[in-house]
Amino acid sequence: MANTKLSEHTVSVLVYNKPGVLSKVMSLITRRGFNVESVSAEKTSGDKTRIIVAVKADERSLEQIQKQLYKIVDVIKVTPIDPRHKVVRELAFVKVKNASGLPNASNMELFQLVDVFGGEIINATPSGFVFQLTGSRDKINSFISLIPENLIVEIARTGIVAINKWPSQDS
Amino acid sequence: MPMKGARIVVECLKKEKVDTLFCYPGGVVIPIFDELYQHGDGIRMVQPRHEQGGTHAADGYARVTGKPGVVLVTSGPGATNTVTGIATAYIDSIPMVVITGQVPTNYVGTDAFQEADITGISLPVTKENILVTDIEDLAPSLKRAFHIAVSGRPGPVLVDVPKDVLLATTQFEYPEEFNLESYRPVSKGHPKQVAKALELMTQAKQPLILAGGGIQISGSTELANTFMDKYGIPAVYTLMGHGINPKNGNLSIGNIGMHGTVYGNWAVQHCDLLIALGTRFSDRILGDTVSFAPNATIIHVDVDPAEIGKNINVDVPIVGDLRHVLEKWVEADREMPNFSEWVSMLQKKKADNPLTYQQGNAILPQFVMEKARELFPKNLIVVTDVGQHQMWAHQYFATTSPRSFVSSGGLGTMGFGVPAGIGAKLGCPDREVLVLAGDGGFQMTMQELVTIRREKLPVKIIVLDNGFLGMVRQWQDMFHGKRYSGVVLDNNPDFAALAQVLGIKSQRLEKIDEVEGALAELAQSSEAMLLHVIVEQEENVFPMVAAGASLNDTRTS
Ligand SMILES: Cc1ncc(C[n+]2csc(CCOP(=O)(O)OP(=O)(O)O)c2C)c(N)n1
Repeated sequence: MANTKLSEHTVSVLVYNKPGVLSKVMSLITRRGFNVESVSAEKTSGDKTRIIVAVKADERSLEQIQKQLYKIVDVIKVTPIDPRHKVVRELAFVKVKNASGLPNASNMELFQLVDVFGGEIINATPSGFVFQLTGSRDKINSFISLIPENLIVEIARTGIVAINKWPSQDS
Repeated sequence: MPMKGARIVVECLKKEKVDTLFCYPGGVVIPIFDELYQHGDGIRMVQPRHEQGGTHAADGYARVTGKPGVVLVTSGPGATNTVTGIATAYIDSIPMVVITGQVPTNYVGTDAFQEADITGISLPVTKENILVTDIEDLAPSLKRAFHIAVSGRPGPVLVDVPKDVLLATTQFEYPEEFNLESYRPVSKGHPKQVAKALELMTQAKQPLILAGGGIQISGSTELANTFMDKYGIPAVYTLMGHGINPKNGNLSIGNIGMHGTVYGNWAVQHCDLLIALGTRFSDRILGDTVSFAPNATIIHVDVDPAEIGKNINVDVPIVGDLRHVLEKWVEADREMPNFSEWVSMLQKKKADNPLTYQQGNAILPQFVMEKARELFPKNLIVVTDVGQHQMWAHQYFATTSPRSFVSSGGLGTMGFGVPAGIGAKLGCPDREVLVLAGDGGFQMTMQELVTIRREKLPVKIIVLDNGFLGMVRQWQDMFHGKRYSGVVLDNNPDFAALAQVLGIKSQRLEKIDEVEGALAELAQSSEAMLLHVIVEQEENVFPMVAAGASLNDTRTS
């Protein structure tokens, strides 16, 4: 696909919670040549599930993805998340080693970092810690980039959830 | 009365008025075959020699009748053998329902004997697929399958039924309707867009219709003819768009695309308004997108919103059923400018650039086709395989009624011809069916000659034997310094002798003066017959636009 200007877009896909529907949605997106940056899915109400997918695409391909998604019989609604009016959150757990005694790192610095980013220490042992962080993908990415790589043992991220806000009164 | 799942399958087929079932048995579907044996009255069971053939036959049946082709196969290899046939139908928007048996639900996922994840495998090539895990879902799933296969933009639907579901029992009740919030194909074109398009026509000087397969699929061929005659707008057509036939024959210009006519492609490049009806603007039509129809405002009508703006930008998109849109345009009864000068220009271009060939000593496929066209009845159904002969058929066998040119357009599946011909004959027993195949594609599914014999189907077959995989050889000739790698078929059997052994009347032709007589016999034969025609080995198909090149560069040699 001749992708001219790629940027990250988020689409919210409401589907019937049928077996295989998640794989239908994902396979369609990847099959048409789009890179999935993040995905999250959860049952929302009754027989429906909301899948939130962030993809790298240009405007035109984004429109194509939406139209193709509608062709999946169990897809009820596809809503692009408007970058100007969206709320996006992701949750991440970062498991790190105890830094005491290591050169170029200290536990104090780690805790300060967690504090600055509004995270929490949810597990602390002599071997190491687990930090929890919520926020935009960018925020989480920069948090992770600030932790010395040799300390990171494991990272678990939920993928983003996103929603369009109510339109503001004056616009 | 409570019924077994297997019986429910049969009763659902009856509710859907299925008269022909392309089926091949195996372990997990024995229960369905058992019920067909006892309760399958009114359903003709046609057993192909290979499930791929069965699926192409169902496809051919659907192409000529508009009804869904129905296939029943066993799990594992039976199911995977249908995949090529399903993909072929999918890309050409052909309605089909494929029922596959599956291992019992408690074995699913254990790599059991003859287990294949066919819903996973067929996902990208079906309009919808369903794994039925509960007997209560069986009848509703089949209803869903038939409804989805034929509505909106048609396509194949696969229903995978585990053996335990076939053996479970429940009360049989076939849903009257199918209603799902998430499945509402658009029917009516937006009135504003429909009106805007018509307005543009009144302002055009050189309007041109691009007729795609959507016209026959939506049953709008007659309407399209009326529309053309009423407003005097000429048309070109795609491989899938054969069949338009306005009263004013001057309005039907010719085909377009990679092997389109010089004048057809010229018309596209010189029109100022392109009215594209039910086409996906495939790369075989567009060539280079940037220089395609450079002067034209483009109107695009299609029932599938995803086709609009997919391969080319359009100015007036109309999502809707073509039939509805054409009705509105005809009803509007607008005053149109006189386009006859433009039509004369196109006719002149046509007269100046006729399709030609130089018939020498060796028989040329084009000659065979022209002769066959003269000798067969007008309402003939032409079925092609894939390759050079398909393109010559596209050029020399323009059909003048819908659902009469059966060809694998989108997937280009070699081996399609003979089995699709079987389906076409079963769908239209009163019409002549002529299959044209190359020596390569013929050998991919020639075992289906046995099916032709067994079902006593008077299908007529011409095998054009050039001793090469012709179309690939042509590309090697033109773009790869004649390095004929992997394309030589120098050990072909005598196909006429082969047919004879299989119980089918046949003749082998090598000389030009034998052609006419043999074709006459073929046309008149009341039983199946095959002609094995040895043709010129290195004839190339022209005109040709190289892949990705502009339609302006339509080469004639
Ligand atoms: C199943 C399949 N395999 C390979 C191809 C690639 N292919 C396209 S045309 C062609 C040659 C066909 O040769 P033949 O059947 O002899 O017909 P001809 O071109 O000579 O008319 C081939 C190999 C294909 N279309 N389908």
